[in-house]
Amino acid sequence: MRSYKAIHQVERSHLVGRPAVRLYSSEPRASTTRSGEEPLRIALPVLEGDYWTVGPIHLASLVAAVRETYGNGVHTFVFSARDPDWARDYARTVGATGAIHRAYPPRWTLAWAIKWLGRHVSVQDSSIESVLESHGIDVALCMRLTRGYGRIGTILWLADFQHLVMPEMFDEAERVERTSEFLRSSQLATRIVVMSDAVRRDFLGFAPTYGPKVRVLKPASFIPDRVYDLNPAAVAAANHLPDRFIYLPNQFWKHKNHELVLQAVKILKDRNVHVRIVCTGSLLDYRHPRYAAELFRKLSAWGLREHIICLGLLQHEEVLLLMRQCVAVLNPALFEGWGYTVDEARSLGKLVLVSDIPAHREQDPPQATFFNPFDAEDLAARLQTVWRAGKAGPDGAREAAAREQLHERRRAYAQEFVALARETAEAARD
Amino acid sequence: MAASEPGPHRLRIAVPSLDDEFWTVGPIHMNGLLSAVRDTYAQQIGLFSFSSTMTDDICGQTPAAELDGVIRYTYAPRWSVAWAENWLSRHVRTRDVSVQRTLERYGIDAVLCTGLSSGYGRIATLWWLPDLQHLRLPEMFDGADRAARNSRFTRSSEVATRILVMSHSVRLDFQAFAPKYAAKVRLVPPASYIADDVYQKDPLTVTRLYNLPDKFVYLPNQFWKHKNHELVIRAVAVLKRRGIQVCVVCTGNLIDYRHPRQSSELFHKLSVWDVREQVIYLGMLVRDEVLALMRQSVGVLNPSLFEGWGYTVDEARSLGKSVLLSDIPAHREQNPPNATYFDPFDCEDLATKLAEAWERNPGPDLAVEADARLRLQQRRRTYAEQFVAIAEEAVAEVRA
Repeated sequence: MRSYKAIHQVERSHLVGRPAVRLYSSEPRASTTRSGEEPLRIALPVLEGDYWTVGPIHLASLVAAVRETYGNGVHTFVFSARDPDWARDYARTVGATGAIHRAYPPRWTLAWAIKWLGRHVSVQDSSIESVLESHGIDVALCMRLTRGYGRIGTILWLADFQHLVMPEMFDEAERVERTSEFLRSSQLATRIVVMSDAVRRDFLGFAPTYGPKVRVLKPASFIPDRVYDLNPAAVAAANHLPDRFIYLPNQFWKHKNHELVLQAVKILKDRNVHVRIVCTGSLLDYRHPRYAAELFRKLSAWGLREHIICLGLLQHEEVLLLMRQCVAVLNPALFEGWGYTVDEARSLGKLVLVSDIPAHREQDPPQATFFNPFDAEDLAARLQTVWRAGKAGPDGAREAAAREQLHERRRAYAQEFVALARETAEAARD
Repeated sequence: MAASEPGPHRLRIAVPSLDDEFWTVGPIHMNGLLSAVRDTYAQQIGLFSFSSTMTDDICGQTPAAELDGVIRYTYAPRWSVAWAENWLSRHVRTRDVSVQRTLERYGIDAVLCTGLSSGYGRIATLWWLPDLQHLRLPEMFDGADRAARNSRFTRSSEVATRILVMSHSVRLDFQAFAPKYAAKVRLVPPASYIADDVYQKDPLTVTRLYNLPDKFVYLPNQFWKHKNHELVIRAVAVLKRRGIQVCVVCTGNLIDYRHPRQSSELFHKLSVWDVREQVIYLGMLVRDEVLALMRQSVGVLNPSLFEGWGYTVDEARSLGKSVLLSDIPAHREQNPPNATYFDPFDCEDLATKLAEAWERNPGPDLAVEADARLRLQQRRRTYAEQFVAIAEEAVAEVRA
């Protein structure tokens, strides 16, 4: 059966794979730059969405922000060892300019042997370097690195250090693997990007030697224009949801702390206060394969099937529409490197009810209600207040103001990223 | 820990300790087998579990039979002399001397395995092959998974002394897969293990514990994609449109590693088709609760597109419950009394038959149940005897 290791290896083989002999690249768009200088060309990793559904959303948001701000001044390419058709589709999904393919040489061939030797002799991968160079890539964004890319700058994107902050969420083998992978990648990367000061602090505790490489780049959510035009109540109706609900759009990772919500809703139910919570997101936590099933058992045992509705996995656009419709967005997570749903809610001018953890405090969305993520009574009290006072549906004025601010925040996001990319490219060339 | 010198047993058998969180029914199967052998042969047969991990419990559930010992083996560290010896032995003689010696120390005669890459010398190996689903329903697997299964299954066929299958339909599939090894195949249809206190307990205590209605159809399958839950959601929606509100209770693990989004997508359909209240997912229950829900239900449903052996069907039969089954070879072969078959690709057909089943009364029919219980005794004895006969045959062969 497919364990973490197997899952990870699938991803790893695609992300860090050996370089290509045979090349493939989709046609880059004809580039006319506004500034007249050479457009920057950035390689992107594949963020697999089956096990980590927010991965591709992050990537698409970044690519869109760069495109909105720089037009054809910056090109992005998905860099992958997968089937070229698949990679092209993926590039389309995240909105990249194209895809660069690299194939593995078949095992036991001369080309393979040379690669194998190279890998064991040098920490630099000259063939990846030459593949990327031949495509004019200046800098590569990576989720992990086993070797450097020579004169091509690498930006390592580290989501968080959950395995150190909450070791109990992982088994020993995975912790060891993460630690060694993070260390090796940090050593090889030209620059390291994290999404919050909280993660930067964790990094400094983890590997202070590489601290100077770290940059904080706070994402700004991508809300397609259509989302503002569609009627959110219609989405709720199509899913047969009640008119008023509090929305919890988190994958069922154990650290997302859904159980606290069950406890709080139970407390309120016993006090004859009946709130409605809608949950969406993948039910999968590969680290705790029985966790979601156990939550459902409690849902029935505590008599909460009508109070907490699990809607499964929706299209991202529908998620954003349910956010607009809900009374408030809830995130009870015990840990976040960056609360993605919180930022989306803020970008839609929605009220949020969030766990009191460093990342959420740092994001500091306007009029946020914080609660202790270990205290069901505390959450129950805040839920009750929000439920009584809050209104369903978008607040036009707040939403418009938030949309305006989002525009600014996305430009800043893109500019910071591109500045970092240029800095990284230069640092690698020197 | 049992004494390591060979004891008074006429035969000593080791079975794997399955601790796979992704495959829930595996340990239940193993428990059923052990308890049948123990009940039939008492101390004549020595029963041991073996594993390379440090889990203490067999299969994460309370063992139904007391084991004579737990065998743990650890491989020598890489690049050590013992490791090199074993590496050579495995690659040259197809023999894992490291495991072999461990088993020999416990006087094991035969070992049941879920897969084999090497043999264990004069210890007979019984490869338990649940099914060849990847050949019947290739679309359920990706190419890499299919290739891995083919090579693992081929290797196990080569190495094993005997191959155990649970149904004739799997035997036929195997003959097509590896005719060369077909002579090794033996058919052993399992018989479920039902603890005595299951019959004593009032099933309504469980329905009340989980705030369930008294009347429901029960679907206790892990959410593997081939288990075909979607057909049931469709059929329930069809009935709702016809003004018939049935209720289906589902339990089982949500994981299908091959299709990580599948169960999440099913939940979305529940809402879109407006049957959240008619299809209730209860999570994973302990087995006694599962069996209690079977007893309380108006019938047990299995809409699966494929089975090597329908385990829940056999449990339902052992409780004298009527069943509503997909028309597939394994189900036809099991042929439980009071079965209704439907086309697993036709939600209208299922809807009609669900509506008929809904007319029945919930709760156990005590006379039918008592009769089924009596037959189960006999079936379990036959199960144990067939298994032990095959083990003895295999032992005789490796020693000849």
